Amino acid sequence: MTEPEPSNPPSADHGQLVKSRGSSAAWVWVFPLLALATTVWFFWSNWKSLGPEIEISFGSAPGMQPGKTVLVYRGVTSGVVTHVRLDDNLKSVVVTVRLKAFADGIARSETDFWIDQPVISLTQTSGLEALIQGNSIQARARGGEPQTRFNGRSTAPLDALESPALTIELQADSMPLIGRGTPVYHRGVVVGAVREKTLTKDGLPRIEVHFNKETAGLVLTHSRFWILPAASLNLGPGGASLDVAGLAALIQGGIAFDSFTPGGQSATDGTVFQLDSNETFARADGPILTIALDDARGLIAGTTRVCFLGQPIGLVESVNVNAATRSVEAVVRLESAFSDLARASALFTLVRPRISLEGVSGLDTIVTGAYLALEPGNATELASSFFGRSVSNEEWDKASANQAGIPIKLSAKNIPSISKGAPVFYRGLVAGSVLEKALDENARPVLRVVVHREYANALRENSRFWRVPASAVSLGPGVVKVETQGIEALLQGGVAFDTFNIPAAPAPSASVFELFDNEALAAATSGPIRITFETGRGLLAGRSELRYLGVPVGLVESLSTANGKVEVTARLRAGYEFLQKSGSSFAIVEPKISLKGITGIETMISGVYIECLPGSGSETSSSFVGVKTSDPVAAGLQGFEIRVSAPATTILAGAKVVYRDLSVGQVTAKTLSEDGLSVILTVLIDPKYRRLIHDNSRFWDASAIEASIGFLKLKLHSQTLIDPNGRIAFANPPKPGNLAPQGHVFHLNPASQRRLQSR
Amino acid sequence: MKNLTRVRLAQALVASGLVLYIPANVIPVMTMTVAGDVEPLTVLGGVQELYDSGLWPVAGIVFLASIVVPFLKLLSLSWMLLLHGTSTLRPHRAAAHRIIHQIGTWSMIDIFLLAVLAAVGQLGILASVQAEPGALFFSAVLLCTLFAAEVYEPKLIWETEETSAAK
Repeated sequence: MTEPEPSNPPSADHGQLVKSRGSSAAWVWVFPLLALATTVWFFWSNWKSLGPEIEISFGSAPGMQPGKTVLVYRGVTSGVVTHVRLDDNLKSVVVTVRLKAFADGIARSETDFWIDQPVISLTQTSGLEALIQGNSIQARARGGEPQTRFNGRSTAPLDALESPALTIELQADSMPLIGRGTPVYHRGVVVGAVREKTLTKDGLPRIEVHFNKETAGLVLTHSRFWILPAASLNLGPGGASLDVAGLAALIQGGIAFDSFTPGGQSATDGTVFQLDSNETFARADGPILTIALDDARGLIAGTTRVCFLGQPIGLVESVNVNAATRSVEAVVRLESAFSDLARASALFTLVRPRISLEGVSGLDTIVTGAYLALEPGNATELASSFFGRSVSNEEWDKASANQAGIPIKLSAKNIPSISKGAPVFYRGLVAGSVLEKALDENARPVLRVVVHREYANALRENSRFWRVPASAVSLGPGVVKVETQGIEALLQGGVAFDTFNIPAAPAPSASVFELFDNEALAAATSGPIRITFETGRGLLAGRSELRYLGVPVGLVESLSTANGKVEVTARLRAGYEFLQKSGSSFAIVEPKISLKGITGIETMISGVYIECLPGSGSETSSSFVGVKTSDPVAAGLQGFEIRVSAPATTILAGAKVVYRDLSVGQVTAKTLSEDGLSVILTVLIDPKYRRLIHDNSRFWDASAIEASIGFLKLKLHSQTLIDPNGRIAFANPPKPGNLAPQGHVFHLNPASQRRLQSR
Repeated sequence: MKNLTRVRLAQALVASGLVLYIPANVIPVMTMTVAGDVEPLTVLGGVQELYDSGLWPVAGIVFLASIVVPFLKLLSLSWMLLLHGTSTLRPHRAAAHRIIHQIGTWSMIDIFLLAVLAAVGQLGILASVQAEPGALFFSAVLLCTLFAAEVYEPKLIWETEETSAAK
């Protein structure tokens, strides 16, 4: 403090009221200024954020609310609807939208506007947010000139963000299951989608397909499009497989495309492609070939393949029938990689499933359907028009081989169930085939048959032919046997032949044979024998057998009636001619059931048959009188014959003759005596009991019920229940007379005289 | 603070309040989103909304509390400050000041309610309430009137040119 402070002189001023005018409080006006500035800034910034106002007209504008509904671009609110009105002629709704300033780029001529509504369907769910927030207007900008009036779209585009880079059109005759949103696949990857499905002016369906810019380059000018099946069932030698392309494809269908030939240029907007019905169709994009066929059974347009070495290389696109030339023209396209196979020398053969003589060919075509086999041949120049055949080479060869066999004819009364191509069997081997069925000059059906050369030795002049049924059921006691001659015979019937007698000379060509109904008939080769029966009940022509000791030896050929009797014509098999000797007996054996027993039971199943017993005569006869019996033994019963006469009796033929209750013979016939006064019973006595018959033997009727009343005892004897034919008993007196001669007539005593006579 | 400064401050605050009163009533104070329905509401719009939904007593209260009262406050404060230094209607002015002061206790209730609503009413997409810039302006108006009434002490009503100069 070296320097003294200047001392303030005492103020003379005692104060003067100084008005501090305002200057001290001027800062307070900052507040109103600040308020004003804030307000102005706020309104100005608000105004600045507003973009241009645009007008969009829609066909209908559901859910539009001024001040609330917003315009959304890429998910960002870019404007607000300020006004909604109808246009002057009530045709559309004009929605005024105030865009935000940052979104004024939306107001361009190419921008699409649409109303986003909730869509919930099987294939698509979109606009869910609209459920909660209400509908909004969506925009998709594509550039263009600034504009303020727009026409809104009625539907949302498939891709809300990007506009398509490539739009092409597909046409087809029909395209079911394909509609808006159907995906377009390229090698399994979705690269595009169907945007619109409309009809062209000529009424054909047409779809518009969109691709975005990543995938647009895949579509080339020669790309082929086809409809992807939602589900396909493949049957093949490898089994069956069911392909389902997925739930989406089931509902929406699908379209696939690919380019099968290299090169090509990218397609441009609006290019029209053909939509093929399947991939095979699409692959066959080679030149069009026409094939004339005289028989196009099994040929299906769009399905039948053209195969080369068994591999499909093309497709029959259409089949045109030419009524004038009676031919069918198949339009075929090969895959372009194989188009050089369509040479002038190419041979097209329609291969169909065929079940024929020596096997089955083209069995794969049962599953896959017929196909056209292509043999390119050696020519170098290409052609576009061909003649096709409908059988394979193999079968042609076989057909010509048939021509080379021994042709013969078979005639029969009728020829059911044998068709052209039916096999001819020789002892189970296929020895030939039936060429055709025809009528000969006598209007009898004739089968023209060819027997292969290898079997020429088997075919003799005395060979016999018979029809082979598709299947035969043989019933025997205890055995049921079903025979089938194989699938060919089952389908086509068949003919068999064999030689039963000593083979004669080989048959020459064009010989005529008779066709028998079955093997048994054919085997019965003897001359006809005629047997007369009282009744032919149970006999069947062509069925009933002749048996010897139970073994079938022949067959009844026909039945006819003559003079109140039945005349049976029968034939015997080779080797049994001895049965034709005179004295042979023939008896119809039929089933008989009685209390005593059952006879001929086998005939209940096998049918009535004729039992044969060879006679002792030396000469051959062809006419016999038959008997009817239930006992096969009785038919051949031989013995000592006597006669018993009675005024009347209930005893019938077949009644037993007993000696001391031992059966020694049988009544074989019951006839009236010549004078008509008595009944004559012819009795056959077993030869070994011949010595019992004396001229004084007594016969009585033993069939009646006998009753004897003894001491406190009642006794009933009855044999009639046992033997319905009755029975005859005889006894000899203590002193027998001479042996009775053959044909001796005895008197039949009534039963009541038994005791007396027996004494 | 000098009395004169107080008067000037009060005057400036009332002026600010008057300026801010316009945006406070024009700009939405809140946005109600009910079931996706987005609705920006101004103060008057809120009253309208309440009235339309049949809650007219509530509408009346809100109308009084949010529109009439702030407006009357601004008006009477302006009147008071305009007549400052004169002797006209001094007792009436003092009474008015008393009323304003007492009402001022409740004046922020709207903002308080809005704050509570905005905090509680957040039910996601179903319903939500959001405060908008209008609420800021509105509260600014109320703050202006509050502070103006506070700064302009009642005794200043009785002050004359002389008394103020005497200080």
